[in-house]
Amino acid sequence: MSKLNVLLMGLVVVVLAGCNQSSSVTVHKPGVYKGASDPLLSANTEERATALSERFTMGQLDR
Amino acid sequence: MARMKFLCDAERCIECNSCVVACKNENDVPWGVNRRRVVVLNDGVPGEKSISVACMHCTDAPCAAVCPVDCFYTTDEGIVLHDKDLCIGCGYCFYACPFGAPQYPEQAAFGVRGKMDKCTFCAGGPAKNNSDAEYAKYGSNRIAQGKLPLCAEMCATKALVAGDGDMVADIYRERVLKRGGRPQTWGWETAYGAQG
Amino acid sequence: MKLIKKQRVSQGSGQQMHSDAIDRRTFLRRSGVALGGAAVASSLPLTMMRQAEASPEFAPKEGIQTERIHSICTHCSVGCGVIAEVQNGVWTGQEPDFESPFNLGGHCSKGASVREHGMGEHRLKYPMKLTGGKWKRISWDEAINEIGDQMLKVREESGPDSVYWMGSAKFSNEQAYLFRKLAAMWGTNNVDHQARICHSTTVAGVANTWGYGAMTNSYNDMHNSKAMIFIGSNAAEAHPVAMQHILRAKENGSKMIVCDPRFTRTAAHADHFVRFRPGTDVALVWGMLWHIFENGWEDKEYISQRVWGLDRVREEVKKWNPQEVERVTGTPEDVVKQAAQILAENRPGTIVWCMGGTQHTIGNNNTRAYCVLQLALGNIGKSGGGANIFRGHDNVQGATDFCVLSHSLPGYYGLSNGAWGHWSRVWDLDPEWVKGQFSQEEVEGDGGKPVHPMNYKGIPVSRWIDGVLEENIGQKDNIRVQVLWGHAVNSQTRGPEMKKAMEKLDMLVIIDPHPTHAAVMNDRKEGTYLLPAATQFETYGSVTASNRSLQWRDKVIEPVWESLPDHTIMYKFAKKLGIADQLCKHIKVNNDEPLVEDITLEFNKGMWTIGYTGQSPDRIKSHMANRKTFNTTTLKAEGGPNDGEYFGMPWPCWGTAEMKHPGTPVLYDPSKPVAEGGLTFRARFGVEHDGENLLAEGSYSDGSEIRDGYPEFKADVLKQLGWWDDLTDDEKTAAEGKNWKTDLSGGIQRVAIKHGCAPFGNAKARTFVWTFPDPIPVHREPLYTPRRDLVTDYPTYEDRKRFYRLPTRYASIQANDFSKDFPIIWTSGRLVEYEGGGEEQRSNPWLAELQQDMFVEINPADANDNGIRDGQMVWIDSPEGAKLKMKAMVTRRVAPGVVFTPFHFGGWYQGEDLLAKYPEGTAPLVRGEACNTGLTYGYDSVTQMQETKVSLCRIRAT
Ligand code: SF4
Ligand code: SF4
Ligand code: SF4
Repeated sequence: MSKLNVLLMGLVVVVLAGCNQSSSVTVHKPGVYKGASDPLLSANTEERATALSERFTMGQLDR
Repeated sequence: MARMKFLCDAERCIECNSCVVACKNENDVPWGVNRRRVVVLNDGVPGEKSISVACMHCTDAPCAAVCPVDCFYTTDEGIVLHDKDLCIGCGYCFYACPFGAPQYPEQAAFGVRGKMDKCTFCAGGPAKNNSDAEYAKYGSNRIAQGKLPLCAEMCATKALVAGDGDMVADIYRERVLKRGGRPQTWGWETAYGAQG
Repeated sequence: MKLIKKQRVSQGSGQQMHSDAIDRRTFLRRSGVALGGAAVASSLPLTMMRQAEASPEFAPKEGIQTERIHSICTHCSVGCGVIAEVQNGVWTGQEPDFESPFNLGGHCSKGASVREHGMGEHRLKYPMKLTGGKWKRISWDEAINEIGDQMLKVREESGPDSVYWMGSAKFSNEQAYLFRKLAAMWGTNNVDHQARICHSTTVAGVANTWGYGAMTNSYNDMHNSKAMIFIGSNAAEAHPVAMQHILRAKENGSKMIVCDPRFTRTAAHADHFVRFRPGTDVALVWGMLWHIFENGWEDKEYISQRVWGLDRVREEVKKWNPQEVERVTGTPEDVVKQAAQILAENRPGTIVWCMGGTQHTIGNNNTRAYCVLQLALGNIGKSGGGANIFRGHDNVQGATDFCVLSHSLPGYYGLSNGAWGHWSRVWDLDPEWVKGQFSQEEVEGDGGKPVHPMNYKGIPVSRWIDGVLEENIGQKDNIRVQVLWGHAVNSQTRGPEMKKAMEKLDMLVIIDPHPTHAAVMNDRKEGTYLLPAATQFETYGSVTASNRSLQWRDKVIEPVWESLPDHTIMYKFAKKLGIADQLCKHIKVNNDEPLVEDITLEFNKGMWTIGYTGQSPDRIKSHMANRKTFNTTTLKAEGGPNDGEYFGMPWPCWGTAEMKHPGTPVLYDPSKPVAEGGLTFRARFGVEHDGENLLAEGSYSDGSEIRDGYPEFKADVLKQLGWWDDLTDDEKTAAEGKNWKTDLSGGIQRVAIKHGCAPFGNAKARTFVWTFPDPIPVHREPLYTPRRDLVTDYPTYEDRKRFYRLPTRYASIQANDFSKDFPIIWTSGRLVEYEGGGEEQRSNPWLAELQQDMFVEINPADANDNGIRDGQMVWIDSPEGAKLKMKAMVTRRVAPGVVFTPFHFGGWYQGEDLLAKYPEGTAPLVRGEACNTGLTYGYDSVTQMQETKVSLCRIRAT
C-alpha cells in the first residue's frame, strides 16, 4: 500500500470516527444471558488460577 | 480472581502467523474463518509493525450490549463467551466489536450467515468441558485443563502473551524497561478501560 | 433486551481506529481473506468447501487415552521441538514444547501446522505411474520392479552414471547417510541434494577459510551478541523462531543491522537498515572494511595470532573507497560507515547470512568476504560473535554433513581413493568390489586430465538438466533416469529447459509425500512414477539443527495411506538392484525397514572429520528426555544426567560415545579446553604457504600442552610428541599409519584431547584461498546485469569447458546486453508460511489460506512507469524467453528498479494452471507460477550454486 493511501485512509477514518462521536446512535445495553450454563463457571476457580499461573510462568517468560 | 487478558508486543511480533495457525489447529476453525489474525501497519516501509488481533475479551463487552438474543456471558476470569444455540447469526456484534472479532461461517448458498464464531480464549463454551460436543461447536477448552490459549503459548517470539492481566503487564513492563521507548499496549484501553 | 440511547459503541481512539482500518485492508491484500469468511467461502471450489467443514476424524475425543510424543519440526533448521498428542494412532493435538531450549514452546506458522501432515488429505496416497498420459495406481512391488528393471537396463546400455539420484535435506541423518551409501553401492557420484542450491558456497567458502563449513555458534548464543549484522538473511520469515533469540539480544542492548536489497520483515526490527543493489555483497563488505581499516578498528592482536593473508585483502579493500562503493552498490557513504562503526563499537558481534548471499555466480566470494569482515573484527571463536550461518531445511545441515553431494563421501572425506578406502573399511566391504560398481571408463576431467568416474565429482543438482541435454559432458552418456527423492524442482532455475530435459528422460521417478511440481510441469505421457514417501513424523531418527546439535525424533503416527519411510524405500530399491546385502551388511533389517539406530551407530564409526562419532542414539535420546535441564543461552546442561554437556552435542563431538565429549557449542573458541567444547582454527591447508607460517602464533585453546600453533594429529605426530604410549594396545593397532580422520578406534583423537589439543591442529584462518578462482574475494557483475557500465571493470569469469562434468558459461552470457529490453532487476526470496517448493504448505489449508496468490513486489515508481495497478495480474518476461503470470503487489519494500518474487509457488507453468494434470485429489490447494521458471542461467565458480538473486526482467500488465 502506498504511503499516500495509508494517509488518506487514516484521514477518512479519523474523520468518520469524529462523526461517530458527535452523532447519537441507538444501541443496546446488555441484557441477562439467556443461554445454557457453562460448567467452567462452577469449576474450582482457585485451583484453576494456580494451574494457570504456573502455566504462565512456564510458557510465557523468556526462561 | 485472575482477570485474563491478551497483549501483543509489537516490538516482538514478526508477523509469522503462528498464532493464527495455532488457533486453526487447536480449534479446528474452518477455511475462511479467522478467530485471530495479524495486522500490519506501514507495510514495507520503516516503522512497519505488526500486531496479532483477536477478541480481546473486553470489560463491558460491546458485543454483549448489542446482541438481540443475549447470548453472551463473561466468565469469572473475564473471558467473553457465547452460546451458539442461541446465536441467530445476525451480525450485530461484528459491527459493535472494535476489533472486528466476530466471524460468520458461510452455511448455505446465498450468503445466509452461520452462527457467530470468535476467539474463546481457548475456553470452549456453554457445554460440558472438553466434551466432543463442546469441541465441535466451540473448539478446545484449554482453560478447563489449566492451559493458556495456544496462540499465545505457540507465539514464535513470545510477542503474544495471554494470562492473568497483572502478570501480562509485569512481563511487558520489564521488556519496555529493558529496551526503553514508550509502552504501547495496543488495544488495552479499548478493551479493558482506561486503567487497563 | 432494552434500548438505550447514546452509548458509544466503540471506544477506540482515532489512533486505534486508524490502525484497525488499515490492517483489514492490508490483511485482505496480503492474504486474500475476506472478513467474515462468507465471501471467500462462497467462492471456494467444491473440494475446499469440504475442507471448510470440521473433520471429526482428527478431533480429540473425550475419555480416550492421549499419548504425548516428542518430535522436531520439519520445516526449518531452527529445530523447534514439537509435542504431538495422539489418540488411538490418530494425531489429534499439538502442544507447545516449552522444555526445548531452542524454541521454548514457540513455533512459526509452519511449525504450528504440522499436525496436518497426519490428515494428509492432499498427499500422494499410492504409488502411481503415468501411462498414455493418465495416472494409474500401481502396487509398491510393481513400482519397484518396473523402475528397477528400467534402471538396470539403462545401466547396461549407458553405465551407472546415467541414473541420477537426487536426495533431500528432508531426510533424517540416517536416511541421508544411507542414501549416499546407496548411490555409492550403485556406482555413481551423480547424487546431490538441495544444499547445493542453498549454502554450498558457504560450506566451500567458510571451510576453506577456517576449517569447517558450518554455523559457528548457535541461535541461543546470539543472546550474548552486542551487534548482529544480517546480510541476505530474512530471519523473520525464514527462521522465525530464531527471532525469539535475536529480539532477546536486542532487548539486552544488542544493535541490529540488516543489509538487504529489500526492506524485509527482519529489517523492520533493525536499528540500521542498509539497502544495496542485489549482487554487490563483496563491494558492500569491502566498503565496510574500508572504514574499519581506515580508522584502525581492526583487532590487531587477534589478527596477528589467528589470521593469515589479511594484508593481501587490505590491498583489494583499498580500492573500495566510499565513492566506488556507492557507484557499485548504490549505498551512500554515511550508511556504510555507520554500519561499520556499529560493528566496531559493539563487540563481540555476529554475522548472519543466508541465500541472499550464497546464491550468486560469486557466492563463494561473498561468503569469504563475510568471514574476512568477522576475522578483522576479531569476532570468530567467541561467544556472542561468530558466523551464524542459518541453514534452511530442517536437516540440510545433516544431509550436507553426510554428503548427499556429488563431490564427496560422508563427512567431507572427498572422492579420493583414500576416502573410498576409509569408507570401505567402515562399511566392511572390499574396496575393489565398490570400485567395480562404477563405470571403468576413464573420462576427461575438469582439469583436462583423465579421471576415473569414481573419483570424479558428479553432476550437481543445479545442473542436472544440462546433464540430460548437453552434448559434450564428462561421463559416458547423458542422464537417462532421474530420481527426484524429496526435491522441489520449482526451486531450480531455467524452467523451459527443465521441461525439455524432463521430456527427454527415459524415466522420471518422483518420491515424495506430494506429487510435486515435477509431476505436472512437463508433457510426458509415459514413464513417470510417483512413490509416496512418509514425512518425518511417520518415522524416527536423528536430525541436525543449524547450530550442529543433533536431536532425535520419535515416531508420531504410522505412515499414512500407502506411504513408506524413505529408508524403507531405499532398501526396497537396493534389494531389487542387488546391492542390499552390501548396503545393510551391519544394519538389521525388519520387514524391509533398516533399523535406524544401527545406521546411527554405523556412521558414528566413520564420521571422524567432523565429530559425528560421539553422538550415539542413547546419548541423543537422553538429551531429548532431559531437554529442560539445558540452559537456554549457553545450551549447557545444569545438573541432571547430562550435566556439563551441550544440547544435542553440537559437532564436533569428538571421539567415541564412551569418551563422553560434551559437544562444541562455539567453534574455534579457545577460551575452553577442547575436552569441554573449546577449539582452535583447523590446520587444513598445510603448515606454510609462500614461506609464510599458516599455524597459529601464541593462540591456543585453554589447557593445551602445546602452547602455540601445531599441525593436525597423525600417528607419527603422537610418536614425536612422546604421546604414543597413551594409546591402549588395541588403539595402537588401529592407529598405526593413520591420522585423526582415519583412525577407526578414535585413539588419536582421544590422546590429542587428553593433552588439551584439537585433533585437527591449531592454525590461522586464511583470508587468501589460493585454490579458488578468486583467492581474494572480488566483485564481479552478475551475468544478467543492468549495469553495463561496470562490466569492463568488474567482468565475470571466462566460460569453462568442463566443470563438474559440464560446460559452464559465464562471459559468453554477460557479453550480451539484455538490460535494454529487460530493464528491471529480478530477485527472489521467502515467505514465512511456505518453505522450499511449498508443496507441503500449499496443500495444508491452515497455511494455504494465508497466502493464496503468487505475486511480485514492485515499487510504485516502476508500477506507474509500466501502467500497473496494485493487485492486478501482470506478466513477467524473462530474458531467456519464459513468461510468468502473477499478481502485482505495489510496495516500497523493494527499491525502484527491483522486483521481488517468492519462490514457493508451483502448479502453474507460463500462465497456465496445471490443476488437471495432478493425480486426483493430490493437487495443492494453492497453486501459482514458479518464479524459477523465469530465473536464468548462472552458477558459482566453485560449487555450481545457481544464481537466483539477480536476474533481469520486463514487467507488463495483462
Ligand atoms: S485464545 Fe484460542 S480461540 Fe482465541 S485466538 Fe487464541 S487460539 Fe484462537
Ligand atoms: S505468533 Fe507471535 S510473532 Fe508470530 S504473528 Fe503471532 S503474535 Fe506475532
Ligand atoms: S519452521 Fe523453523 S522456526 Fe518454524 S516452527 Fe519449524 S523449526 Fe521452528
